Amino acid sequence: MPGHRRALIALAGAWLLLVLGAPVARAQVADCDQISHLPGDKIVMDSVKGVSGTVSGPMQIRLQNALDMKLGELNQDLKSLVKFVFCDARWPGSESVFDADRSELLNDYGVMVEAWGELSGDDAVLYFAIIPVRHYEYFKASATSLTGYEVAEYRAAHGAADPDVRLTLFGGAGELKAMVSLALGVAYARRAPGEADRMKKTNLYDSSRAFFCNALTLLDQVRPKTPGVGFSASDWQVLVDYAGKSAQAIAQNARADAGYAGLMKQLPEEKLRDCPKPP
Amino acid sequence: MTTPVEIRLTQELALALAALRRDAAGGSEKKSRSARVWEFLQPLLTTLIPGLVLFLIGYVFLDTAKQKLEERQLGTENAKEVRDLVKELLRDDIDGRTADATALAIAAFGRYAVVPLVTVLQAGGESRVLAAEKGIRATALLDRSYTCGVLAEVLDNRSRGFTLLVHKNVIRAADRIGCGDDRLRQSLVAYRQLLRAGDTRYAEAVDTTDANPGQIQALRDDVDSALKRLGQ
Repeated sequence: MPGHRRALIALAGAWLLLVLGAPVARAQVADCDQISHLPGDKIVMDSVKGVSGTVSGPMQIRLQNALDMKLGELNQDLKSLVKFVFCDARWPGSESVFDADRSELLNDYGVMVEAWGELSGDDAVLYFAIIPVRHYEYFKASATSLTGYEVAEYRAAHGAADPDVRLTLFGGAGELKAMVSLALGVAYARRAPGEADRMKKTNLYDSSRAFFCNALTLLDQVRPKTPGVGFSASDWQVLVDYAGKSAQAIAQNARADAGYAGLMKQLPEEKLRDCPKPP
Repeated sequence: MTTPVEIRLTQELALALAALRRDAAGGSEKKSRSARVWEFLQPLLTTLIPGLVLFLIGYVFLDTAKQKLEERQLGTENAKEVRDLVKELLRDDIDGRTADATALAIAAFGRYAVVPLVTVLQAGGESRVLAAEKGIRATALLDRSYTCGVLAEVLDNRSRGFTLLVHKNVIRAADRIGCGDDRLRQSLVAYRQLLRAGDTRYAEAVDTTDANPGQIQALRDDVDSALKRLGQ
């Protein structure tokens, strides 16, 4: 190839990089083929990264194993609904990675929740990106308080000093279960109106409400009691409010949809305002 | 006997005739000079003009042929360069930053980049797809009408050659590029009709494997808003 042509192409490339440079600087996440190639809804579990020199190798392995084991249990509970994808080479690192385009694409691929962890000394942090919430609420509906990006901390200085306690908390996946339930509620709520099949439509509406109500129960179980352990109180409250409002809204939408043929149409409206109390 | 008046008249007449003869002789002298020039030039021009015309036709033809040849050569060279970059973009372990940089390098080839980038969209992969879309938008900065034309072709495909997600990305790219030409608008209007024809009819034309009802609904909204922005 002649030198001047190579130079011209390099120049054009540099110009394009300059013009579209901002998004380039943000995207640092490694691809995980199963995200796009595995059909159906999925939960993506990325790596748990230890800040170099602060976490012993065996401890990191113990924490990762504990989390994987709990995910395995979760997988048993949800295996007919979602698939678990493990992406060891992936560590998104920050909220900004989940920009509008990436969130939309992950939503199209059926990703419900993407989670990754970080260990530093005695502290452990779990990060969640609740993709349908981030795509539909944060970006499309511009709900600024509902980012779809949640952080659950397990800081030693705040009550998680005992490695075994931390292991239980970190591996408990309580927050993860709640996030998955919330994500499924949102995803099914969006699918229901477009479904042509009456039975499937009814099932989507009913499932969506059930997931929102289940998310409320699960969120109640991980209510922040000690600062620095689990979700922050303000984030938790936002999620609880959202799940409650969504459970109510989906009942109204189902009743208004002529194609819906389920119980929510027959029950009096006031009975649908709140979720049924768990036994 | 001739009178003096007659003599003077005869002399004047003779003078006038002489003047007339002189004038006549001068004119014919001028005519014969231009005729001589013409006679001199005529064979020269007759010989030169066909040659000149032939030269011009030959020049234009050769120039066009040379240009076409150079274009083809350039196309072949570009294809090789683009192939290497596409191989890089399709690498399994590619990360977002590398994917973006590679897609933008492909985009620098202008119209030669559009089809490979659309193919990358079809290949899937999160970072790859995001990067390919950025690349397509970048090619539009170099050759907008060609890029929009290719996007319209992709949307017109009814043989399940592309997935719903590829069409979604193409619609989004066209919207962001601002492909406001009639060709693309017609494709979008036809696509909207296809979406309205029902899920079964749509699935016969577009690959909807792995798609859920929410995605088809979202695509309807995307087409509507793209048409609104691009001017229906």
